[in-house]
Amino acid sequence: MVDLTLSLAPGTYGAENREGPGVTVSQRHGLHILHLAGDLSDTDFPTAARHALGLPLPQLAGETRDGHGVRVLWLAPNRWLVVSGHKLETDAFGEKASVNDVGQGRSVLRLSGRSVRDLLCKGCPIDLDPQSFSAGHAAATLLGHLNVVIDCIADDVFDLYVTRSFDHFIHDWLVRAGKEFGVRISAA
Amino acid sequence: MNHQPFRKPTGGNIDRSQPLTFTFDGKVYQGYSGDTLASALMANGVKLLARSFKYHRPRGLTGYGVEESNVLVQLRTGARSEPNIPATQVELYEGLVAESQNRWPSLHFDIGAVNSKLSGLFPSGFYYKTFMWPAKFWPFYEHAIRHIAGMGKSPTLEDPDSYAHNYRHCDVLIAGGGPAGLMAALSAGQSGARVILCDENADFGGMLRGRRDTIRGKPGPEWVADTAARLAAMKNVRLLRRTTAAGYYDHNLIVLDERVADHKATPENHEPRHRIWHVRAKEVVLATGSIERPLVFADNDRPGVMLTSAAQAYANAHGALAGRRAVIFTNNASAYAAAADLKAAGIEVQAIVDLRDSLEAPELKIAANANIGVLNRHVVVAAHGAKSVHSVTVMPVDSNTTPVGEAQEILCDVVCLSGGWTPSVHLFSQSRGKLCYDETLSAFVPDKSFQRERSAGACQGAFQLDACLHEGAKAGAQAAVAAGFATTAADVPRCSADAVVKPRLLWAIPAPDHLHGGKQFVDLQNDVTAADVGLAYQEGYHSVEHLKRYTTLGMGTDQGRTSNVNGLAIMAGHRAEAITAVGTTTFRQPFTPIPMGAVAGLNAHDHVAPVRTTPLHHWHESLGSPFAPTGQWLRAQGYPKDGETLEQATMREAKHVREKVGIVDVSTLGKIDVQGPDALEFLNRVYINSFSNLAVGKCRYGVMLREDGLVDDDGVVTRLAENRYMITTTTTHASAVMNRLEYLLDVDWPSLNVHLLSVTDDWSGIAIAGPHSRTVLTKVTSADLSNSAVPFMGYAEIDIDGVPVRLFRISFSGELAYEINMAPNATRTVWDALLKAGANQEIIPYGLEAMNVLRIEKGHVVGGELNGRTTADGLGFGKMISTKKAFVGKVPARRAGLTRDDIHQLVGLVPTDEKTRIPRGAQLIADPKATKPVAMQGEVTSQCMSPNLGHPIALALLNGGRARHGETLKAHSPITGQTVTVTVTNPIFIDPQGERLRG
Repeated sequence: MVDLTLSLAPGTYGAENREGPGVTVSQRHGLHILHLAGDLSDTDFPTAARHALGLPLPQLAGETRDGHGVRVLWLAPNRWLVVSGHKLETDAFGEKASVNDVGQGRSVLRLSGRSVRDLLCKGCPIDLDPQSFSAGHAAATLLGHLNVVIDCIADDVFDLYVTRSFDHFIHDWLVRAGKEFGVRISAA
Repeated sequence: MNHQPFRKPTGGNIDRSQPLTFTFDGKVYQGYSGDTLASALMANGVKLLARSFKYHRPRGLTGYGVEESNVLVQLRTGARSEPNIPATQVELYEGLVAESQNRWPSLHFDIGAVNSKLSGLFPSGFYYKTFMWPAKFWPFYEHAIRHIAGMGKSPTLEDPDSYAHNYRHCDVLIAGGGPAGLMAALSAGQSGARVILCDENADFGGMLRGRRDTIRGKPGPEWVADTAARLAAMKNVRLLRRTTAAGYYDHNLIVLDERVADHKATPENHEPRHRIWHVRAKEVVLATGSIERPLVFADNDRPGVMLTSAAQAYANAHGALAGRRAVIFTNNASAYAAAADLKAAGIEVQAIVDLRDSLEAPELKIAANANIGVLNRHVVVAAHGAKSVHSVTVMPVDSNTTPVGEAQEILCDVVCLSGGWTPSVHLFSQSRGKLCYDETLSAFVPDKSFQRERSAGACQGAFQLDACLHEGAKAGAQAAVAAGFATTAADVPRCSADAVVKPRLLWAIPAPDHLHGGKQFVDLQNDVTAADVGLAYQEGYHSVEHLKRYTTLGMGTDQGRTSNVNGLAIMAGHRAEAITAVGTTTFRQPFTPIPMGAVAGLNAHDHVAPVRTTPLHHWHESLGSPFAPTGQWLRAQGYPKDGETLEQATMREAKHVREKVGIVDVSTLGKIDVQGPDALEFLNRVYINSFSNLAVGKCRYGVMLREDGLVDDDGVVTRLAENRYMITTTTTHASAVMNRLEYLLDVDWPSLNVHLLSVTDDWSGIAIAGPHSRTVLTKVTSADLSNSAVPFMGYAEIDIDGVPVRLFRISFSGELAYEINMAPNATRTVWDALLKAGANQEIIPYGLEAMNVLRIEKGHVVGGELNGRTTADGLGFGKMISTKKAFVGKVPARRAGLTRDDIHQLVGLVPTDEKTRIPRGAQLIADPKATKPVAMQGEVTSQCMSPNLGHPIALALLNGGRARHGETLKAHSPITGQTVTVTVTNPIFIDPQGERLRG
């Protein structure tokens, strides 16, 4: 019997603190997201990618780069996530690139607040201490049962990329895990 | 209830202005803030606190902390009730309720105590000897034994509390916040390293909490408070109180259990009750201290017999007195300061009975100053009393440590034991460090480290306070340096001196003849005596691991913290070998018990596994469809109309699709995007059939094998472009297939230039099936859908109501059918457009159950048939197997056992009476009345009522089944006991020529 709460009303859940909820969760809409794969050692690919994006692909593990309204997240060797507010052409990256539009297949949640790192630590095994994971870092990792991408936007602001079909589940998880800090779910 | 007869008027780390009321066995008592349940009971003079596990002997407190073996209580009531909690580890709170365990009807009158009189019937291993026959009665015996033999009761109500886990990384983790751990934290903290310091108790200090040492001329607890404050001021140091380092795992992963709210009546403001910390530390300092050892003599389990350090700590830290008159029995010098403390606290110390020959000046001075008589070269041979000790018999020993000469009886209500100290090497040993035996200390101490850790202080045998402070300071600095920080050891404060522990050994005090019969307990929690260890030796259980299993020595909640060394030393005596040759049992995680709720954390109830939903979930819900979990997905099962059951709806939907048209949500099918110049080569290697001649814009069914040659999964491969394909997988195998394909690319074929991406969530899916499906589709698109434009197994990219979609002419139902993939946000638009456009054709939505009926009627295989034990040929895919190319599983698939004619082959089954449903999972046999064992020829893998044929049908795997169409067999379900006579048929029940789907 599955009795999961499949829809969460916007509102504040859990602990009541004088400072207000420790974490706020809101959904980011209207993002265009491409999954980009290509061989960095083949010079055609990074050149075409730089041309298409207007910035070079990040090459360090967990590195992110910004510019021209585009944010590029290093996901794995030869794999990136390209996030933008405007539509990006999938064929702009040259013949050597493998591109998929994954914008509607991902739920992007903006998490913020003073307890946001403590909340993420409850399900994510990587080092999320500010000295190891700060703005400019992203990681394809785990949160609870789920594969997620965590992107550090600012000290206490993170974007969480979750496979769309887990959208209900991750909201439910965030509320459960966040209750001890107080968690606010913003209207969609 | 304010009277606490065994409480000093002043002194101790308790707050007498904050009285707390609590209940033990229904009686109301009062203690103070700062008490444990144990210290509060002691202050109230309650000595009989438990009954023992096997013999139901009266028991009292023996320890002060995690070593307590006797006093386990059932704590709290109702849903929060928890069994087997040591009273020494329960912080007192207002309203606490505890009950003693293992007695009926009461502690003072316990019927089970008759076991004690019958103890001759219960030697070690008596379960194995007594309850062997008849074997089938064991479950009954086990139930009865479990009830009689000890321990508390599990709560039956749901746990109302929440539990949390969290993952942290640090440079230096310090386990234990006594003098060594605090100094280590100062050294490491001042380097700037990220430090975590944890301690299992309510506050730091370790042994300093219970002793009267001075540091910088001030009492130990003051220095502890100052130091903790200094550490708290360091931003890079995290202090965790009430937090046990429970397990040490590979790569310096240490698991901590924080008791966040156990010291309160209930957790507050949504806090978790426990929090598990998974700490990945660059370096570890173990400062876990040591535990005093008891001495073994006749009736050494009487209430009032306890560890010297425990009595000392109760007096010093809680102002609680273990009794009025004490006898101290020791084999080393550490007990003298304790004796003086007890005397100062107001306990009359009758004598220090010391096993050693000659005593050193410092301890003689302590005894003289405190005016305590010392009987050196003496032993306690027996304790007397029942529900409380009232005296001991003391005798001199000769040079062979044999009791000789005149016995004397000394009256007392407390007997304090000090048999030396056992370093707590549990975490070190869990980390796979090697121990060695230190003869001087008579203790196992750390020898060679295996991971990046070091021990400091009493846990490696440095028992003196000064040594603990120095070693801690050094170890903290070393750890910080090893973690990459520049630092030196913190300044070590001056402290008072304490005794050097050099025990004289006598592992079990021989009892003189006139005291014969008194049990000499080694393990109090499990009622294991010295005689039991001897019996184990006699019966051939010489290894310590065998000793443990046979006698239960060292099992239970205390894990033999006070008994292991004594037990294995007694065994070494029987074996006439050195203790080091006998060795220790394996130290396992956790150090102390962790509640199951804390282990589960958030992964409980409906979060045991994640749940996935499709973009149409709410639509299905609004039509009242029930959902079936399929892998992680929830799939809509069907749409019962008013008064309809799901079964009736399924029949209606399945019939309607064959006759007219229906749509179904197939978003859950696994989808993998395959791109790159070597994509074709990759697909040829993973599927049994070839894709070399698959044109762009065409689909082909594919089957893949595992490395062992058995079928892994099936799906449809579509060539989207020259070097781009999309493949589908079954819903439940999707992630396993993706993992395997990525593994093949990364590990086996790194030279292939191919990129894979799971796009299951990026493309939702709707299947439209039925003779009118093309008619309906034509209404929502301007694209040419004729047989020549989009033939069976064709592909096209078209618009539906302005939404760009991928259209696949494939059929799971066997009808004229299409699958439509679209961006998830557009799913509802397309779904609604199809329902609207198909109104004249009476289009309906259908669910998982109808889809299943349709595919069984067509003999299509899914999870029941792709069960990991079937061959491609057995499932009817023999003709697809390419002989021209290599593919995964090709060679193993040719093995004789997988190519014989009589292996499982897919068949259809029809009940001969055309009425009776064939139970799923039934075994196919020739004659149920044949002599057992009856040969099983096959099994039923899928079954349904076919609305289109009007009778039940089933799919089955049958030995050599393809050649047996027409045979009659019995399908017997071992679960329901039902037997149905069936006829073997072609597995394709409807349209075997496939004319409908090409229509």
